[in-house]
Amino acid sequence: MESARYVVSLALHRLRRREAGALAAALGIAAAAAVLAGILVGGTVAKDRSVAQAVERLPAASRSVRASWFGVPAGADESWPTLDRRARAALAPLPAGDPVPIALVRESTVGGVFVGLAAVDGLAPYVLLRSGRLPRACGPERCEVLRLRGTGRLPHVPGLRVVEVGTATLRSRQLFGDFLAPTDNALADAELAPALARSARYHLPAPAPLVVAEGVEGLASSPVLATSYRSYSWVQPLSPGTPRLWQIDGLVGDGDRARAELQASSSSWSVTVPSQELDAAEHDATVAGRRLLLVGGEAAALLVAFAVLAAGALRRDLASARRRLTWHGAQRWQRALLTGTESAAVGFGGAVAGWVVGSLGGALAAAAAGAPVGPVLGESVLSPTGLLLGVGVGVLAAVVIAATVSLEARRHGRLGALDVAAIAAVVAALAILASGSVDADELAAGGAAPVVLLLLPGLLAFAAAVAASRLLPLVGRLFARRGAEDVRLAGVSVARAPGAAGVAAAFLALAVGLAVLAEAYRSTLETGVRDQAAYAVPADVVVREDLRALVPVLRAATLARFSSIPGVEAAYPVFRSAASAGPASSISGVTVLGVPGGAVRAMPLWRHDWGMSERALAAAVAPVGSTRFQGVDVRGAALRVEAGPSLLSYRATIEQRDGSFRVVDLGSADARRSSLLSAPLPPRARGGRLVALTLVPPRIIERGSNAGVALQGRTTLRLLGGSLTGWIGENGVTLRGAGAPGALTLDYAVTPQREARVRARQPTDDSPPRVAVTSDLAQLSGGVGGTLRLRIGGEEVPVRVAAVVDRIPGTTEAAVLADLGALSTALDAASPGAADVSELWLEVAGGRQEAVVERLSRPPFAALATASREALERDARKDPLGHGTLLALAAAALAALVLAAAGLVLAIRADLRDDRGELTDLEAQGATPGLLRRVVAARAALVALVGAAAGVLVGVALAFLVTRVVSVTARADVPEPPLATTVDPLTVALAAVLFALAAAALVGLTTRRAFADPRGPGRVGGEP
Amino acid sequence: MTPLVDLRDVFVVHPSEDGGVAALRGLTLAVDAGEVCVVLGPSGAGKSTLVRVVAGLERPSAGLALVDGLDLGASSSSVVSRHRARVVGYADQHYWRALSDDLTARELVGLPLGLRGVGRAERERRAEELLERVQLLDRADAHPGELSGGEQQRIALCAAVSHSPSLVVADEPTGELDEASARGVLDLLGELVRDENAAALVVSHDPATSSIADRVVHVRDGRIGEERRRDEDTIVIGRGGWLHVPEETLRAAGIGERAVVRLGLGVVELRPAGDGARPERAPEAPATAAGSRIEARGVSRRFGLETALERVDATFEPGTLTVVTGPSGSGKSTLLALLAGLDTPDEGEVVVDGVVLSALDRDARAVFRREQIGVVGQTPGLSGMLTARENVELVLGLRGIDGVEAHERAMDALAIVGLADHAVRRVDRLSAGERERVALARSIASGPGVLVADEPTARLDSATTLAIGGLLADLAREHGTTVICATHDPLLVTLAGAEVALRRSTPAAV
Repeated sequence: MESARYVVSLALHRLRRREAGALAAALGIAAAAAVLAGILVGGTVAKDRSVAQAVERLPAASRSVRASWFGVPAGADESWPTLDRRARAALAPLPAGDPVPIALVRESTVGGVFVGLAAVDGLAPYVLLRSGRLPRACGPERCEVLRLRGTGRLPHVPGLRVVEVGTATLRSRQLFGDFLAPTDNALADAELAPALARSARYHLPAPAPLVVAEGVEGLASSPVLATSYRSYSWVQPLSPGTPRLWQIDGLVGDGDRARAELQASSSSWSVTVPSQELDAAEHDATVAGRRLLLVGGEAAALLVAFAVLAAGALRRDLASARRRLTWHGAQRWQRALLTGTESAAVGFGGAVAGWVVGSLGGALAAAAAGAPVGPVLGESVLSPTGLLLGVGVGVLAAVVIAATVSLEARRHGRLGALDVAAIAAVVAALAILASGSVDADELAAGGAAPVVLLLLPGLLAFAAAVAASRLLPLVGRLFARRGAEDVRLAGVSVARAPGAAGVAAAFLALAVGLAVLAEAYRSTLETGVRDQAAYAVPADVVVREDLRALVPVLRAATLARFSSIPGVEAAYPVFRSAASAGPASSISGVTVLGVPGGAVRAMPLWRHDWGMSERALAAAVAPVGSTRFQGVDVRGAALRVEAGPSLLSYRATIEQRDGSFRVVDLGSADARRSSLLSAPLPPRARGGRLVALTLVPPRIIERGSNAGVALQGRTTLRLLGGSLTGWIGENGVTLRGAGAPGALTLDYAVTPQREARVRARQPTDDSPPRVAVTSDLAQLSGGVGGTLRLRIGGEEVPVRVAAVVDRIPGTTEAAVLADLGALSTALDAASPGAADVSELWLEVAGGRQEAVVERLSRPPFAALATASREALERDARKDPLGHGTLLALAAAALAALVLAAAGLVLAIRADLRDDRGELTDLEAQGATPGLLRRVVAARAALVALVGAAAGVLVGVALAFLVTRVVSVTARADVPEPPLATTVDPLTVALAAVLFALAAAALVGLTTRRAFADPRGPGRVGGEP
Repeated sequence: MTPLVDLRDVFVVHPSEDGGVAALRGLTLAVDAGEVCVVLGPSGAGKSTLVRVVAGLERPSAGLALVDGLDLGASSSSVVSRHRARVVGYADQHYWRALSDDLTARELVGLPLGLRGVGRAERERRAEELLERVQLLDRADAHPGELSGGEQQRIALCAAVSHSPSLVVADEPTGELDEASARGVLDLLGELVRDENAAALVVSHDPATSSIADRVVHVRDGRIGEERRRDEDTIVIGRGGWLHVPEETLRAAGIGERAVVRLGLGVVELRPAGDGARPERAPEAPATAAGSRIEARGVSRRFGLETALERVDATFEPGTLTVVTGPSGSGKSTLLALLAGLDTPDEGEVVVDGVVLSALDRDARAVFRREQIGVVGQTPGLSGMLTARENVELVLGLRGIDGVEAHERAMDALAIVGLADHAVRRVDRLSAGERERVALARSIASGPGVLVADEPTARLDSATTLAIGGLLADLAREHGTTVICATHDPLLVTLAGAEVALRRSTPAAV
């Protein structure tokens, strides 16, 4: 025991006097550990902020925890004080603070007046005073109130003398939630659309007056209300920061407990907690937090690598110490104890220091983000898992150092332990890849997915690092026989003794690889943010009909008006509709887009790997020839048609001058003779075109017993002032041979269930619209060239499949893209007016999107819904999860590069130390100090070249793999479109240049003093 | 009486790329308890391996190695380790390697005791007792860096005996000390060992070490060749009657590869066989530049508190193989570094053909060396992955000779050292002797006027030493090259035309 204690004290003594080597090693390990700790804290902060934003996004009505009691109080057990005490006790454990009691007696006759009464304990913060003053506490003799809405008198009877002292609106719906109808606050509530308010006003009768008093107890104790049905609520408003991420589970659980407790006393109780919304927020936050494990894995790999590198620096000194101890009689366990103690001190000490620094940095970040520092640390680095991880990091670093300094050098040409480990790492990584991708749900669920994220980069980077170390001597041999003198000598040197250089190359491969991975993944997510916005909004700005206002786009303003908005360069009308396809509409939810060719070419996002180029797509769906909708010009103020004898009535469909359709009732034909049917044309229809004549059967009652049988017969139709030549019949109408010029002879079989008609032949009748479809629809049609029958709005529209693509921007799942003109013609032919423009895609000049969106928020466009690609992108970037993830990746990339530079310097120092004999020999053979410096620099360059090349390769490969494996966006959503690995060449080039400059400067500084002794090396050769 | 150390036919083979190098080749040696046995021999003779085997730091490949009754070859590592802790005290040649600079003198001496679980008070008592003994008690709190070489070695000796071992093993204990310090350390070693009633196995280059010996043995080529006990020199007869007659003796007798043996009464007589005295045929030396005259004029060189050279005057003439001899620590390598311009003296100057080399700056000396001086170090910086020819060409490239000329010169140089057939073999596939020859070829390929070689025959067997020595002598004799070799090897000394004998830190006798 004494001897063990002695060895430990000896090791600590040595460490205290150790030179900069151990300190540098510990600092490097500390840096990597700090990154890990920082990621833990930063991830928690990002998740917490994400939850805070999710809470903020909750509708005000549900942004609270609410215990409610409904009914008519019966007895003391349901008196206000009892209920209040019971509710407060049940809600006390919840973290949302003291509840705000409210009472509401909904519209009822009180004291002969139809009125709604409400009360709040501590009213002032919740109302916006419009006139008068705030009420005093309500009592039976005088209950001061604020009028929230409505007109008319208020109850003023003994026991409830309501006195209005002002008018006000509620600041938000958070307090009363859904207890008050949306219209109650519509005038002032910014959460509701003005259009909806207008609509509500129109549809509802004038509401009863609603007043609110100060103090629930005063109102509740009014004898006048003793038999009135009322609701009491104890509201704990949720705000950003309440609850915090780590309080969600507790809040939901406590809410459940409160509900059970209260409902056990009475079924009149209910407790509502926005559990689903909070769970969803926690889910998203967890996914994003776990994805940070990717960076964590990177940092862990770097930690291990730096520990190996650092061990190289300690190896010689420790070996000397062990040798000395051996000479002095130390036994094996004592030498192992010395190694273990020193490795632990450096590795564990460095890791702990790094953990502390990382935690402090994280604490600063938490404070800057407005998160509570203590709880954040308590939930991350100071949590049991965090502490365990910290200890694990220290142990890992210590073990790696101890193993590295103790391992025997590999003999040439044989597989060493590292090689075997590298092969095993590759096999493990392949197994992980073969197991499939990791999506958001798997990440949130935990299990193996986080481990995959933690392991994958590390395993592959480790394998690449070993490969780089083995590659280095081969590269050295390559250069040893060619090139300039210094390069040749450097090549010889590397090939002869690649030990430290090999470790350095491996470390560089790891560091650079992980830096490239971090940067590429960051760039991928960044591009993903842009792509998702561009995919969701396939133009600069998309204007759609607001489903709350129900104003069609082109009814709000003409196309020309949209085009004239400053900044709008082009406005493309677009048809969008849901459809079904296939036999018995086997595929439903098909999105059909009719888009002008220009809009297809102007789409901000199109990936060539989706099936074809953007240009080819536009060409594929472009119509052959004109698709102009056909009809017969109608002149004059009336439409006149000569109809042959029949029981039929006729309706004419006119395409008006503005492109809309109008149906004109022509009346009934004479059953026994030809008759002239005439109808006046509305002003807008004059000068339009007759596009169809519908044959309407007589009403059932007129047909008597024949009602169930199709009405059949033959008749003629002739348009006065126009020719119907070339028209076609459908839905039971068959045209016969030639009759009078311009007239139609037709056989008909009509029923009320289908619209029999004759109509102008349209270009799309012979040549269906050419469309691009997604692959599932292509299967239905038999691929390119096949015909797909779409059912749009009840009408069957055949289309010709001209291209098959993976996906179409602006749609999800099955989709069809067609030229707007062709699709409109085909649709209008099937059902005139069916091809109404449903949205506009606006192409906006650079930097003007915000101004255009602002203009669109004002009349006459205000009734429409506007989506801006830029705004969507901006929102995504503001998201703390996405932002945090991107920031963490960028920081990790930077840290990896800094460590790479540090590793290079350590390698040069090791070269200068270990290759002293070789360098002296070169000088003895006539090499000048300048040449020796160049040799060392060239050797460093070779190491950097091999390490960086391997790093870039593995980094890019990892980025592709990680993108494939982890199908989650920066905001932790499922990406649509899927992420595409992006390597930003500019960033990579810039980083490479900066790294090269920094490395060159560091190499210069490190080698400058190496050969500065004016006397020379002082020896003839290396040590014997 | 059972000997404390009993080595019988011990072989130690060190693995190498080309299959293994035998460091000990059937060595047999016994050391009795309380006996001081000094082992002398040139570099590469196997002395250090012998020490490592006896200390239990290395296992014999074959043969029997008994120390204090324990068969070191047959015992487990942990048993050997415990045995070493109990029986052996070890002192290394490089005291700076043996002493951790992190500890004070007191702590260093107490270190072996600490490892054996001795408490602090007892450690310090024993350390102070020994330090007082070696007159260093007043430096008990000093770190090695604050002590002179002699003081450090004395500390190392105290550490070696602090735990009262029964056997002290010392590897060149005076190897890096000046003469006065060396003498003091030797005396101290003898006294400490006897006071502690221990045996000692001391290996050395330095014949002066024999002053403390009860017995002196000579090692050559991994075997005990001669033994002196009580002023009587004997040749050791190995198992089976093998005799190892020193090359120098054979050369003096004119005996080459064959000898005639005649048996007389109590006498075995060796005579040269009919093919003459010098069967070794040295290769032809290359065409070199005319040799240069090099003078060391009163050069002194100090390293910290240590004086490596003190006012040395020496002249090295063209056409002469001059050996620089002297015990370890006498400054041979330092002098060579000064002569090659790899270092500059604190005092005095080095002049090469009238050029004061030591006055040139480091760059200029490198350029001068490139043009005039070939250097062979003790560990030549050959690249194992390159062929012999490529290694030579690489250095020729440094000297400004490229292309066809470099190729031709490399082939010529390799032919001179007898490696023409191995020119395209990778150096890591060559034997140690062949590598030494490649190193020599590398240095003579450019035809330097001066060749400086530090222990060029260390780690070579006698035959190879003769071949290399002959080559160096021919270079000097036939081409006028100034050849300067630092050596411990008496065989090389016999081939030299001149000798500069250095003593530790005293002016040289030339």
